[in-house]
Amino acid sequence: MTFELDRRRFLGATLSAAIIALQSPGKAFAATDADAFMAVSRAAIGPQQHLNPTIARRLQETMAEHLQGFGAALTRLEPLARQNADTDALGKAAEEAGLHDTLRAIIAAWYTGSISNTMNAPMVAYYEALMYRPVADALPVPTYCFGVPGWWTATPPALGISPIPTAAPPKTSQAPAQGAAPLPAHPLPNTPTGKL
Amino acid sequence: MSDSTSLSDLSADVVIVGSGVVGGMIADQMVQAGRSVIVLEAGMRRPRGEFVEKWRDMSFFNRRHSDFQGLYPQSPKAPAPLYFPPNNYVGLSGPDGSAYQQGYLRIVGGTTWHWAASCWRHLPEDFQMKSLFGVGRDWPISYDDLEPYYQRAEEEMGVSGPHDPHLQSPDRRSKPYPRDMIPFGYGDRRVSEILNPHGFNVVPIPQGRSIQPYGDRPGCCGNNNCQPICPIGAMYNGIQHIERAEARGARIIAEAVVYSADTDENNNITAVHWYDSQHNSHRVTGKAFVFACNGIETPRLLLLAANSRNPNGLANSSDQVGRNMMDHSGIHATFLASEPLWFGRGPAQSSCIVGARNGDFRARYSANKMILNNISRVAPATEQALALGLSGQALDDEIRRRAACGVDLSISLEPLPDPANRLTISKTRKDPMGLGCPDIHYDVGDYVRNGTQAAVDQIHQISALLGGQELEINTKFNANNHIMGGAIMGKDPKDSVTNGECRAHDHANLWLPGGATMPSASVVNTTLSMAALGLRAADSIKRFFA
Repeated sequence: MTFELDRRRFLGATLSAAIIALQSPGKAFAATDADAFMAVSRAAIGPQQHLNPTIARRLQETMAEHLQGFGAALTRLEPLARQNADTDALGKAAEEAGLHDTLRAIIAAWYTGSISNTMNAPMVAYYEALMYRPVADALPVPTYCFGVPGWWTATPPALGISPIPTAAPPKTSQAPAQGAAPLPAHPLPNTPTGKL
Repeated sequence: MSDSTSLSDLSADVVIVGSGVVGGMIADQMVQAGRSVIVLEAGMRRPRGEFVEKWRDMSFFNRRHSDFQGLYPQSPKAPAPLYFPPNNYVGLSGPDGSAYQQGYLRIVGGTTWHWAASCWRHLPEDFQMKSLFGVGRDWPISYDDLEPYYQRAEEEMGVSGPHDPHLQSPDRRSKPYPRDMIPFGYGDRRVSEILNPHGFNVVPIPQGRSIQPYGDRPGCCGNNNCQPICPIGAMYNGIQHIERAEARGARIIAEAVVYSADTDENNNITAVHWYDSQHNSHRVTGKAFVFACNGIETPRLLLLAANSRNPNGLANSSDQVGRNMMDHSGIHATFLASEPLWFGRGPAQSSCIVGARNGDFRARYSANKMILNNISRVAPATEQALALGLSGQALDDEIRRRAACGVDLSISLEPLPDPANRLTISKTRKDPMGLGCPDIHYDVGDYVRNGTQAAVDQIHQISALLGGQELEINTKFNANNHIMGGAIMGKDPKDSVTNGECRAHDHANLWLPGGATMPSASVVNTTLSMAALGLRAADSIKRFFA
């Protein structure tokens, strides 16, 4: 535990107390929990995604209702969100403050549309779940129509980023079976052209 | 139909139990032949839009883990097997009991509400497993006997399949597919190009949908949600034949749980008894009876309906009812290709690797087919990217990379009919009507286990050719809802339940068409074979009346 952290925590707590005193009694740092949730979400997710305020309100209410200690953790996260300029810095600050799980839960809820990745977890957003946006030029949100029948024969958009994953170590899989017969090579059948 | 007085003393020429693809198609055939038809369905009747909304409202976890049952409302009195959480309606045991967690629906229209519309034919060789490979059983009919019915079933269901014989599996056909293949997307084209020189033989899956409208069915616009519900009805569902039969005069009664039958001195069926949703019992008399309840519910009903003339169950003098239970016990593999393939564009199924579908090796171990799933990889990509702790632009990039490069293989294997793989009626567990729940003992057998070894080796080759990273092969067998064997057909009434027309050996006016009669599983989805057998049974019923 560093002095800096203690000092930051102390300042945060002091500021919180001052603002609570100035604004609505019983409410946390921001004017409302919804404001706090939006502030934390914006800082946690980054400027590349637009956040729908209606989804924000529903996520906040549903998480507060179903996740124990969520409201208190949100209150503590909010000043960190205001003090940290980018998502990585906020992640680090949240970890140091013991709030990392709450921060990740908020990010995951926005991307998946459900408040946790568990069976029958309350869900808030389907079409608006953020996970569909990074691929919105290439893939439909399932159940929604993406184009005229046969649209998928068109060349997909460029990936635009490196195709080689670097963030994860490859997982080991079982070794090839011994003695299993490889397939016999035979002539290449006509490859469909994909024309309509 | 809620007025119970109108349900008393019903009668029809043809009484059909089960309103899925087979029951619906036979109902439509028989009303067209001028017969009166009543269809009794244990489950409820609900509209498509409700299923779509329920799916969208489902939690991410359930959708990610393919909870294809949960969006379909179940009659509280006639449960289907559910897994989120498990309702243990079907009791499973044996070394591979966990591989038999089938997800069939009890609802008007049946389980094709949430199929992917793969319309495969068996190969000619699949009908002669015993004579050609020395394993399993021969069918009492040949491929050529069933071929005209395959064709008719494809026309009924509006199947799009390759007109190019090089892309057909099998290529022995009397006529072309009603529609040419659903065109490949980029991923299918690219994977074919890379894999085919190595003998993997990537072919288009024949599918019960089309690009142009087919009859009153709209063209597919690639919503990528075939499973668990096509939102626009572009995919064939059994409900389409139910609605057609109904328009022609068939009567469909939902929430009607059939539980017993009356037999006369010749062991003909004279009536079936059923419970309505209030547990009142009713009776329907008829001249011809069809049990097309699905591969688990048909043998279950035959066993439940045991009477003094048939103490071991209807159609069961051979003691084969409920035995030989099969499914395409499957394995799964995922990896990230070294280039973007963009699976997830178009319908959820598109191409399939059939290089190991047939060969002399079938004397020793199971064939396989490997579906290149075309289901959007966004949900698993998101789960994986979140687990890496990423945020901001890095998170979005990782989702895009994993969704674009992700490959998902669903591998089907072929179990052999084994009388020890057996469905029985539980003595302790009852459904809400007080009827015994099904218990199933299942062992995939060494034939499949050895075939799995070969498949795993092929998966490694495929992954390597596509520059695969993070290859994960899950060899824990899963269920594919292709339920077969429980009312097996054969030439000899001593070791089989029906003849080659799906007519019960023991009852001259009872037909049991569907997966339960199939003596060999092949490696391909069963629905088209079930429909073909259903149409063949319908012809047999027409001759019965002639």
